[in-house]
Amino acid sequence: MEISEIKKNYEAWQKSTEELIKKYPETGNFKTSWSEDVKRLYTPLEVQKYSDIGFPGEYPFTRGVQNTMYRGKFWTMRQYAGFGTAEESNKRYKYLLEQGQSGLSIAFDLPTQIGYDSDDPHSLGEVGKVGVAIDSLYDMETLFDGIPLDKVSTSMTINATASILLAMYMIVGEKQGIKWDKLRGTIQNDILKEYIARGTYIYPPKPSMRIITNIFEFCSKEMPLWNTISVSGYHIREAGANAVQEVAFTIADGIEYVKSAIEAGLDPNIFGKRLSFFFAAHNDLFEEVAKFRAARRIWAKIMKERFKVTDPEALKLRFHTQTSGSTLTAQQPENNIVRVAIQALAAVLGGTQSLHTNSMDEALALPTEDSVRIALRTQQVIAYESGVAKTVDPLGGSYYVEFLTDEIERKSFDYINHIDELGGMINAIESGYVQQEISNSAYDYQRAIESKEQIIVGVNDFKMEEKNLRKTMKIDDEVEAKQVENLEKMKKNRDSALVKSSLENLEKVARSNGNLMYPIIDAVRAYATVGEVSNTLRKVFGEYKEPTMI
Amino acid sequence: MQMSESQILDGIRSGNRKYFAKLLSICEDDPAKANHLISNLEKHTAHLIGITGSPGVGKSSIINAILDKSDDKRLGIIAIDPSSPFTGGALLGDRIRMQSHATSKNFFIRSFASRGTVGGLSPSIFEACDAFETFGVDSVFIETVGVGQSDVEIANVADTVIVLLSPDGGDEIQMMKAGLMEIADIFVINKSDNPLSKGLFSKLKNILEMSKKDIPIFLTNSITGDGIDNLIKTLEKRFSLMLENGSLAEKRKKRVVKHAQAILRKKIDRIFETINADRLNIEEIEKEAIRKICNKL
Amino acid sequence: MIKVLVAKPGLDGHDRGAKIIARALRDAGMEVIYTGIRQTPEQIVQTAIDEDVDVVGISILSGAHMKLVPRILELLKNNNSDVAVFVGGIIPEEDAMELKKSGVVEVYGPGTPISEVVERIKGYFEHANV
Ligand SMILES: Nc1nc2c(ncn2[C@@H]2O[C@H](COP(=O)(O)OP(=O)(O)O)[C@@H](O)[C@H]2O)c(=O)[nH]1
Ligand SMILES: [Mg+2]
Repeated sequence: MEISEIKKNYEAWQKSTEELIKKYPETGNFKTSWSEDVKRLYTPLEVQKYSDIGFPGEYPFTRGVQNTMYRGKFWTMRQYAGFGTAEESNKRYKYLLEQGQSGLSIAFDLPTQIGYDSDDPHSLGEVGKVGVAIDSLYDMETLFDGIPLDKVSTSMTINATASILLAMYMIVGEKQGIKWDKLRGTIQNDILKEYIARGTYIYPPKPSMRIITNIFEFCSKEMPLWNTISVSGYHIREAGANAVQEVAFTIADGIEYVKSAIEAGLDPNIFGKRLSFFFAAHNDLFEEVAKFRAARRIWAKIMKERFKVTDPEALKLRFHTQTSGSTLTAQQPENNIVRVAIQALAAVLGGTQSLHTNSMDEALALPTEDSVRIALRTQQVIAYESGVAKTVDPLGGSYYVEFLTDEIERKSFDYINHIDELGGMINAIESGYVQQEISNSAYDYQRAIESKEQIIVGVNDFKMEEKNLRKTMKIDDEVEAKQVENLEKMKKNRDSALVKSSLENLEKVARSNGNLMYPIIDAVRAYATVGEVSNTLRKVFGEYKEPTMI
Repeated sequence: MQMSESQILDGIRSGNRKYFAKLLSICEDDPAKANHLISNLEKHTAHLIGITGSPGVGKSSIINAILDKSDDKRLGIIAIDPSSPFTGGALLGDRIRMQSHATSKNFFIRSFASRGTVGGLSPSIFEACDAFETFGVDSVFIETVGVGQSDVEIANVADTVIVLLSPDGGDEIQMMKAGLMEIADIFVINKSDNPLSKGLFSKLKNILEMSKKDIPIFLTNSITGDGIDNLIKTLEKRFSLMLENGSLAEKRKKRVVKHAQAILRKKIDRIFETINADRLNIEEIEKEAIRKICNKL
Repeated sequence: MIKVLVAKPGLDGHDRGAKIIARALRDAGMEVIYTGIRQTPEQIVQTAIDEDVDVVGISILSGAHMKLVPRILELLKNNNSDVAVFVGGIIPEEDAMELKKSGVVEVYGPGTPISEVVERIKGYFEHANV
């Protein structure tokens, strides 16, 4: 059918529909997450440039980064957990490895993430809470005791102190007789989203970017198998951003990292392959699918056009997805199973490389074994029963999904261009612009819930009497006490003159423009603590204070 | 919490922060009562230092940097943020930058909302400064709202006005021509880590030379503290000089007049609010107002 | 004029709720101070005293509420402060009861309409003024 004919028919259909509506009015919330009106019907009229869709495995990768996608291999079902002392975690890792797992996922407690030792006043009540507590190389040695580091791939969720933890990991390897260039793994290392959303920053953005660049440079020389960054939109979305903002701000962060890698002398054709992304999956199924497709296309275009990348492998946006913790409700928690299923489906239809599904009772307390299992089973049902993995990009060509994909791309580029005008993401963060945009979205969303424009099942509608199911989390003070005791002991046994001189040297390098990885490695090898190294750098770089945006 | 006048006075005399905090609230809610209380307290002359400049230049940050290096002094901070003209609500956000000093015994940070006053200050700014002088502080830093040109009122309140500029804030020089130049006793170019700051420095220097103004310019980095020591030293020197040569006394005399003017203005404003303009023209409104004022005074 | 301190103790950076509440209170005509993240109980209490606020709203999601909130209440008491304390976060029923017994005015869980919180705070002071 010719476009003109479609147009004619469409207008006629609209007219008769308008008549009908007079009798049977439409009711509901017809808006995208960025508050744009969703039309009654999408037709070829909205999607005229199919040319950008392309083929899977080919530029601009709208339909996926591989030719065969899940027909070759399902996405990786990656469920992570972990907390407590290094000793406990070590036992757990050994168990997982015995079960045939080859990758380790490490979460650290907040003091470790923010560069405080366990005996720092800031650490009170936080030691060993959301992850393992690491004060010094001593703890890292315990954590990986008996685990051959050349046989595993280790993923560390660590950002502001990534350089220190990476240095410790390298020395543990060294002591096992393993060369640095044999170590495999990932550090999250995405500091920009910490300022925007997650909050575990230490120094101001500029020196933080220097540390990251130093890591990039160091690893390209010494640890070529190491993935040096995972650019994360997940926390941005969870802080209240809409789908467009999630894509736009994450990619703007990515741009900043590529820029600094290039400044450090790295080739984006090589560096680009070491980059990965991390997104959230929310409830609005089609919008989310479109989001993932748009993100791939935007990134490919930016890498190609802005950074002149030619190697197709370095143009591909590969990403991990996690379902959205913030959409889960404490009310009628069983409903969360359904939410997670929809979100997981969106991630798969959007072509994710790996997926973590949340447990239904996360909004209440630490998940139970049953709920963790159901979360994993959800992925398996989608993979083996739903049939959505049979063909590549099954929603490709849907007028609505293609329209949304185009729209998210267009709106994201508007943001990215505006951020360029502000002088890049660092300026945009320092001025509070990005935080304010997200905060506005979060506030609008909250208002929509309160006015019942947005219904949340079990929360502002379809409510029922139920017991408060929230469980008391036992705060285990023993972990903290033990950790502090070990720290004291360790400090007595180390060569304090060596610690002192290595920290002095670190300060000197920090004040110059040398690569910080080398003096950090020396300090860590001398058993300087995470807190001591961080404080040395705090002295030189100062501390970041968040802008007063609400 | 209800507190009697004598409780408040005794509390402040014994250095209890809670009572001093209450006095500052009284300054905001009932300035006449505040003036009365203040007149019953001993005052020590403090250096009143205004800091003005566009939003985002680093006013709050530089105060924090000064606090970082002032362990040996007692300092007061008055940080003013705008009230919404529609709801009256306000986000008092300057404090977030100084929050690491919240528990310091020697510093007292207090946030004020502008509550409808123009000029970048609080309606109770005079009382608040006077109150701080009863609490034995060496200096009071006053951070204005920072909407630019209209922030010139600070010159009537402070002994020393610092105009803060930064290289990333639009066309600063343009703004300078529009009034801030006249009130500046000291210029500070903040964010010296930004390479453009050197350019701004020489541009400003030229302008000052051309207009034959001898105003010092400092370069600072409020995150690392670079340049702050110099600024502190200059402020100290300036204050002792002002004490010595009598210029402080002169300023303070003028200040009292301005304070009285501010009080009267507030009263007049309130009278205007009571005038019903239904059938009156401008001339009649004026007459009506004068009549009411004469009756009241 | 009601003056409120919105405080965020603990090391976690989940400030979405704190910011939304701060904004809603401001839009309801209150003067709001937001401390930012990572505040110690000592910082929160000294700020409440120095700023002479009427209300302290504590947003806490880290699970350390039974450690941090009682400490804040204790410090307030040491200062003879009668400021009204509200708590929001993931708080189990039994903990909420205990906190209320020790002086917290109200404890709000996830999904509480913000308008309810705003009205409760306003109402609290209308009563107090009678
Ligand atoms: N790079 C840099 N940033 C600064 C400096 N001083 C302040 N800032 C940043 O500028 C922004 C605004 O600072 P703030 O003190 O709130 O400005 P105010 O609105 O004038 O009070 C914040 O993001 C600060 O971290 C500085 O010397 N160098
Ligand atoms: Mg400020």
